[in-house]
Amino acid sequence: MIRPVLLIALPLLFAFLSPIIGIWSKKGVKYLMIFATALNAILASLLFVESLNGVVFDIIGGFEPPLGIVLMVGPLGGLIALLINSVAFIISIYNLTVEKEPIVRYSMLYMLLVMGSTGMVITGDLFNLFVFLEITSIASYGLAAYNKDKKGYLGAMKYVVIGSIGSTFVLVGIALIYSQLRTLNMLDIAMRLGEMDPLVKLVAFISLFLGFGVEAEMFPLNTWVPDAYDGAPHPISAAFASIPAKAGIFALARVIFTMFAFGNFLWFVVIMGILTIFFGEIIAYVQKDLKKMLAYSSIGQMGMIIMAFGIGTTLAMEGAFFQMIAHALGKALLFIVAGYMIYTYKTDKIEDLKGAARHPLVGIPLLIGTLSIMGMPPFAGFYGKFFILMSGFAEGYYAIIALFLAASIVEVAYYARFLKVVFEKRGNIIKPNAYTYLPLILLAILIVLVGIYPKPVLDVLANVVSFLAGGV
Amino acid sequence: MTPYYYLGSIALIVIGIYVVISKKNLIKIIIGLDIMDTGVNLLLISVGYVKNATAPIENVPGPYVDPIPQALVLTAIVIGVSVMALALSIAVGIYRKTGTLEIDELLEVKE
Repeated sequence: MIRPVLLIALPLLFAFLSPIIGIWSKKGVKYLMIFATALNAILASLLFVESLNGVVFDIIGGFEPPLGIVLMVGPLGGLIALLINSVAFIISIYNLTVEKEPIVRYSMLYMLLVMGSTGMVITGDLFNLFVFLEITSIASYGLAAYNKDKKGYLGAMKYVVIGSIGSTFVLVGIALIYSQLRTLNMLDIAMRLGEMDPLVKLVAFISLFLGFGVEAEMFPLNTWVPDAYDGAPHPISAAFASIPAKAGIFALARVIFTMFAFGNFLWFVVIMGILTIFFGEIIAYVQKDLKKMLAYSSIGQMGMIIMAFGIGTTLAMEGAFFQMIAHALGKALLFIVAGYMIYTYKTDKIEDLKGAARHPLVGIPLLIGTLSIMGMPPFAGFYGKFFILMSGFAEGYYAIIALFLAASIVEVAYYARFLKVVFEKRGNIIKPNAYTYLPLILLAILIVLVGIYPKPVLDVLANVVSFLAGGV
Repeated sequence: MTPYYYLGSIALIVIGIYVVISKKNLIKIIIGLDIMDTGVNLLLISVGYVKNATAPIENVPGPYVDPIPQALVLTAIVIGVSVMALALSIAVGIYRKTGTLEIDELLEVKE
């Protein structure tokens, strides 16, 4: 029996412990970061196993829900918490390559980022969700500006402005719901939703949807994505794509399904998803900067997940969750490779990176990651896209499927072009250091493992049936 | 009774969003964010308002106003202040690097 609150309390403790350890040893802080995220990943896996037997509730402060704050972890929440924390652990190995000072603040913010994102996934209280969203965003703003150059500052500024607008929308949504129902507990809100005035309900839903759409990289609130990803330190770009983005999209899913229980086809969400896909993929196609290309591709992938939410059948949701897993693993891998290339060859233009992936310790994981993101079998990315496609076919939304496939072809085109450049012949091949290739290998193994043996994941995803029915 | 405070808070939010979208100076944009924040806080606090009621303190006779929005607003104010501080310090960083805070000029300035 493990209390979900530990997943929040321990990173918080370690985060504020790191300045004290920083006085004694700068190197120690980096290892503390690895230790904290590893511990969190272990706790998350224990919690995940526990949540498979039923929803885990954790009452905070001794007040019974719906009055008090409660943490609740269903099987899907457990899965996403495990995903976030294990990717956070793998990226924290890559964090050892960060040389720029002040490393103490860096690791503190990184732990807060992980803690906030985990909190967003496991909380059961609407206002608590807002607080965790803000912790995540404030940590992200700081990390985006960490390089202290023009690119980093401008990206962070854009992120602050759009993020604040997003959190304002979330707060408006919360105020509207509270004004009608006088409760903040998600399950309580879901139960008493019928008492709400239909107009206020619609406005509250749209406010929350747009607000969480900022973290979930939804069009048109995603213009911060390329600049913040591009300006941030390399490990943080990897973390942005896999940690806060996944927490944001899971929060979005909970707003749509757990709270408002929109179980059937939502044309509004589908259109937002399609727009997001096209915005991301088409701009990614014309990008010459490696990290910007990956950032726009990340937007496209998140759009696919949002679109699947809109289709809203069981199969589509399984696809959406599978896509979240595949994208978190694959994009983290690609951003680490991008970090290695930019650091080693001192350029971020794709055309100048000829032969940058010739070393097998980089090349093989890169190939696995790219093929997975493209959606090739037998890698993890295949199932997500395949399920989303099949769900569209099963429901007869042929126009949507055609658009989805067109976007996927664009995606394959620019990734193939990228692969062609980086695998060209080159004279001097520079070996990556251990902190770079270790996370790459770990992520590649996970991608292949999920791809060739998806049954355990699929068993967990069978729980989307109850999720769609308004469960946790 | 018309709830004027709802209109006031919505007006503040709209003014804030307008300032953020239309202004070209980073400091003005940050001020816009602050106005927006204030509007939401006003909306939140007015949700819990009860006419002729007092603060929910023991031994004070009722009726009481709803204390939960007050707790929420306190949290939201603290969060708003920290976001504002961070935004302003990023603006300071931008000014040190580029010597300008006008968005049009920022895009042209080389480091």
